[in-house]
Amino acid sequence: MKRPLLGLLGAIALWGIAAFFVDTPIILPGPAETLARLAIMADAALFSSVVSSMGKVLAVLCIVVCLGVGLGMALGLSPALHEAFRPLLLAAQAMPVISWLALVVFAFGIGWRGPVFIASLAFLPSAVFTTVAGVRHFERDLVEMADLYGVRGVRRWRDLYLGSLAPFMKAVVDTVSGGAWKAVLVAEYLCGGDGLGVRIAWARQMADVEGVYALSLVAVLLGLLGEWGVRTAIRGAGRRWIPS
Amino acid sequence: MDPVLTARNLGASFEGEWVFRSWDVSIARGERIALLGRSGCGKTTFLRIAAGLAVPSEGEIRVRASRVGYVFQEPRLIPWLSVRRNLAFVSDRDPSAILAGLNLSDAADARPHELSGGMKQRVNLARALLTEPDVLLLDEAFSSLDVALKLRLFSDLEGLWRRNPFASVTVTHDPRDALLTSDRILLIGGAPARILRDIPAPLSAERSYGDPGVVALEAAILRELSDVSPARQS
Repeated sequence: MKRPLLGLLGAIALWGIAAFFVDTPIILPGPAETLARLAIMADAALFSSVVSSMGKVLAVLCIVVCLGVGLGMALGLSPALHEAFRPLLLAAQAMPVISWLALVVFAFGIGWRGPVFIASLAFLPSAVFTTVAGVRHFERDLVEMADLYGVRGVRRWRDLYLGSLAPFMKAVVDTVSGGAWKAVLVAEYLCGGDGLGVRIAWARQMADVEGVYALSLVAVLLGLLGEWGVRTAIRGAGRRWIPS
Repeated sequence: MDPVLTARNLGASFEGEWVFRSWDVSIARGERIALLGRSGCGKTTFLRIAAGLAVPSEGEIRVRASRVGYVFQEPRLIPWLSVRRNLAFVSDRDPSAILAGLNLSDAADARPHELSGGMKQRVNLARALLTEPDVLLLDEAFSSLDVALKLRLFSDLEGLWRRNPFASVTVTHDPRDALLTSDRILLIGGAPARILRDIPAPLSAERSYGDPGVVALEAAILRELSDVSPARQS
């Protein structure tokens, strides 16, 4: 945690130097002005927005991991299913967020479902493809050993398949935890009912540049903290399957 | 005695080329045999067919055993499970006695990457024995071990066999290993490989690593092996 903190302090120092030279707060307010604005903004409403965004990130993480890993396992085990779903997943992967927007607004209106849907779709295809790669990575020798000793059912899945998939599932969680926060904020900005992204959109409309920076600073800090938290959690859980 | 494994006119081909043909093998309950021959003569293929992991190209094989244990050439341990859980993966039986018998009690909670090559191979053997097999198939199980460890494993295996006489098929290209682990040796050679000779080994009580009888028999087998035409090399 020491090094990232030093990196963050370094970035804030660079920001201060840049703001000093730009000397136009409407374009680039300094850290002090931004923190002062944040102090004014820090109220129950901001806290509620933070909680709302974090809830959506958590929902995206759960959807992508459960659906992505589940679908990835099914597709990895069945070449026919893989062939059937692959074009759909590739299309979803290539589709820009803006294209989903109209559909989402019509389908869900403005609210929490749109951002969760858009952010989940942004990560789902890569989660599925990563899991498919994991399933295909199952060691044939170990599978043959399990066949020989007639190991089936829960034991086979828990002790063999899940263990083989663990590094790939870790990669999925790493990717989603790193990017979901950003994706949720963008989606909130475009079609959210509340959350940090919505507040950033309001601040922009009010030409509250310091407010945009203050909210972005909160988003960055929470994003880093969330990613660190998830990484720490999966490192602990991963010890069961991933040999050091 | 009722045979536990019978193979009649067994043959296997790979990409249109016969690896071995016309093998007739019969193993009685509790009998230990060794398949001895050069690399690529079909010894492992025979074991895989006996274990149900491969199908023969001709002939038939019948294994009258409810449990078959297989000691793979490479240990095939699940890397993220401890030794104890690797054993629990294949059987619900308490592994303590087998772990103690193979001197692995202290390593029960270690993971495979924390074990030496010899220890991994002993876990491989423990896993096969834990299922209390009627037939134990050993595929070059001792080839990567140093002599001291190998002799220790032979002795462990002998002790376990005395307590519970299981039939076994040991695949090896080392005549000494074959002589020290088996009651008879099937000498394999030619292309496609055939069973050239069925050689009785000295009684287990009389065989030891430096025993003159074993050494003389080993020399005779080596001469015979060098006389036959080389098998298809893998």
